[in-house]
Amino acid sequence: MFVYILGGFLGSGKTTLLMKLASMYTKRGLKTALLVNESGEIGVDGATLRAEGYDAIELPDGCICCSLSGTLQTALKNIEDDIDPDIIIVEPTGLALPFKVRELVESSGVDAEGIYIIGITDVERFGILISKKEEFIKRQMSGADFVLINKMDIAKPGQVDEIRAWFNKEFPDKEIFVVSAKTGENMESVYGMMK
Amino acid sequence: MSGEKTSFEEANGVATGVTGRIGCWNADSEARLCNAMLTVGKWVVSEAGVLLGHIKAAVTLDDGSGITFNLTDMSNGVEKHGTLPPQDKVNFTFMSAVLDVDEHELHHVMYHAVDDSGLLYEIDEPECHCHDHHHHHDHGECGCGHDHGHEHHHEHEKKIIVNNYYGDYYACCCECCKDDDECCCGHDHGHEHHHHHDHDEECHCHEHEHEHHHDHEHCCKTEHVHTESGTVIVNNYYGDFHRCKCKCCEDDDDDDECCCGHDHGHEHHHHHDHDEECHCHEHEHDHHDHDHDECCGHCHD
Repeated sequence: MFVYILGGFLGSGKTTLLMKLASMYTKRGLKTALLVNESGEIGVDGATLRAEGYDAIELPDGCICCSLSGTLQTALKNIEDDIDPDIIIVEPTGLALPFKVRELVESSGVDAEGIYIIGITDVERFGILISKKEEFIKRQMSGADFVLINKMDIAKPGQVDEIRAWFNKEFPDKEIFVVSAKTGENMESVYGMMK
Repeated sequence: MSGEKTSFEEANGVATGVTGRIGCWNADSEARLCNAMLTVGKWVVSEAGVLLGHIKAAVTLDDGSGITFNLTDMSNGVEKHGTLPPQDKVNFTFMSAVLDVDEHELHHVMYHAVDDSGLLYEIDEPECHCHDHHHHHDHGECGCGHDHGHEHHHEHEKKIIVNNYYGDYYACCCECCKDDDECCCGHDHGHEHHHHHDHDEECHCHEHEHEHHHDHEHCCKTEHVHTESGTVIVNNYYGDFHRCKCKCCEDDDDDDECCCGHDHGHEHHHHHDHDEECHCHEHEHDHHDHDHDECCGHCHD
């Protein structure tokens, strides 16, 4: 079993990416479980997934990297016992720190062959995010195994280069993919990275 | 986790939302919901300088199918995913996860945005202390312990919620809201609250069985009026007209003196009801215009 953690800020496109990845794995004939965490008591992502025909396990009202850490570990064990999937994709809240989620998955006792973090950021608001919350974004991206610069379909000239330059400076070792999870543009290269 | 900041605290993020149902779902409702989302987005921008986070909504049927809305960038507007034909009733969830705003205020603004949207909606409240009336009054204190320093007049179908002292919307739990016929102040307000008067003192002399629209500094002012025949009558606390029996009313010739010993240096013109019995003197005669500053202390100016 492989576990993928989608790490990115609020609105960066994690849920859209989750659906794309789930579809891709389903087409490959792999059993995939989706675990979605939402920060508020009121969740919308679960409804979004159901509306699109996906069935996900929801963990609302808290953050799985802190207040719901125990809940996450229990949920993972239950998924392993009940579903025994080939793939688990975890979508934490947009304010979670993915490296903490990975630590929790590692200590949950599930038999994972590999745990990977996909960092995702969007071209739309990257500049303003960095100007206001750079330290937080650095911590959020720090654990990523590779990074997606999402929403290339709406990128203005020069935006992608600026983001790439920031990542190259802060995280020179991380591989970067420029994609549009919504349109599917360049998603094949991402699928190539997945187990 | 002790002492360590959560990631939410680290980012100064908050998340809150509401759930409920919307009636008569159609393209117009869709536009109204989008407008409510934009209203919240504008408020976030006004508070935080920029919308960092997302404002989302999902409109679904009982089987889980439906559509979702997402607002992450004010310049792009609300993104809609999926389609849903017109419905008599749909479920909805409306949530925001954003940075650098106060969570309670955000919740408050979200309620207002839905309330002002014109949607036919019904919001799930954790606990409704149900009541079905409108308050349009300011009063300093309510017996429920909340400080209702505001006018509360929100009606969400059958539930009234109030902007209470936390700055949030809650179902009002005071007795007067629970039951129109009984107010926690001890008075029997058998009417819709429509107080438009200022008084610093607590009212302790009468039951209000009517709607009153008067300004007074003290309660229990009655008004003497004259009939065509010249008889002075009083609209008393029973809500009836009675003949005034006070000496000063009896004696037209003596404007300056009343039998009670008080100097009524004024003209009697009280015009409301109260149920406190005046027991300082019997009014047994007609009276004419005269002023006084003070009478027995409870029924007369």
